[in-house]
Amino acid sequence: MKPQIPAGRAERRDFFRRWIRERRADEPGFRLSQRRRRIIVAALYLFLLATVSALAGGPGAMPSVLGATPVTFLIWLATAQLGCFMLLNYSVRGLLLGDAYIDERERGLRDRATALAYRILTGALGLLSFYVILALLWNVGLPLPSTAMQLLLALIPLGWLATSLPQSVLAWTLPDPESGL
Amino acid sequence: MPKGDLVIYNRLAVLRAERGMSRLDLARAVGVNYQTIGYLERGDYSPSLELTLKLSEVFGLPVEAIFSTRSFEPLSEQVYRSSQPKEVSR
Repeated sequence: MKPQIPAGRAERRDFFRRWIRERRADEPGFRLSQRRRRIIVAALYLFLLATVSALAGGPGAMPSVLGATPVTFLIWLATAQLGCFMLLNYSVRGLLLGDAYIDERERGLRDRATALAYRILTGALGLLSFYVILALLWNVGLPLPSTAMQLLLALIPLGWLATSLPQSVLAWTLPDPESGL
Repeated sequence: MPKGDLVIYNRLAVLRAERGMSRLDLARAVGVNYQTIGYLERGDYSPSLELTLKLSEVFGLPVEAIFSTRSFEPLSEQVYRSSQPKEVSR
């Protein structure tokens, strides 16, 4: 039976929220299996690490696969990262839709994941600050960005980390879905 | 559920089975994800007052008939005991 869409604005909004929530509940569980989600998270950060290494090493450090130029290699890495990020968002997207589309337990999960991601990011920033202090004050020969371009290249992975961490924590920690029967 | 938290027992699984409802049916009736019903039934998640009242409304039972801080006696034992003839005191 085709559902009747209510006439009023508020009723229509509630109808569509309920419709999205129910549709999400009917989705097959394999998309959300913990193992697959963890593989996506691992792949995302491996690609991020590969990008950082490639950028830090310069064009000479990038592998030339089938005659591909360093730029092609970087584009490939960026595409792979973007693909992983989209998959990651897809695997937990239900929890990122907003308060109106998730229930109280899911809100708790999302808030805990965001808090943990914030702590991880704060720790990463702390380590980065420590690295800069170490490199500047004691002058131990650690590489530091000297131009605006190098600084930008160093900030890109940090931006990626900040953007993807809450989803990654959720994807990593959520248990396997169970049957609705 | 974290250690040290108050355990809230419930009869959700029994009540749901009695009414022939799936987790999805009950989830739709109270407006939560079907997985949340599983978490509630196992006692892994304690519901808010709002959700408790919604569940009470769906089953048409008072809250204390569904949730308790003490473990429930099996319904079969309760039914059997109530059907036993009472001793007449002399």
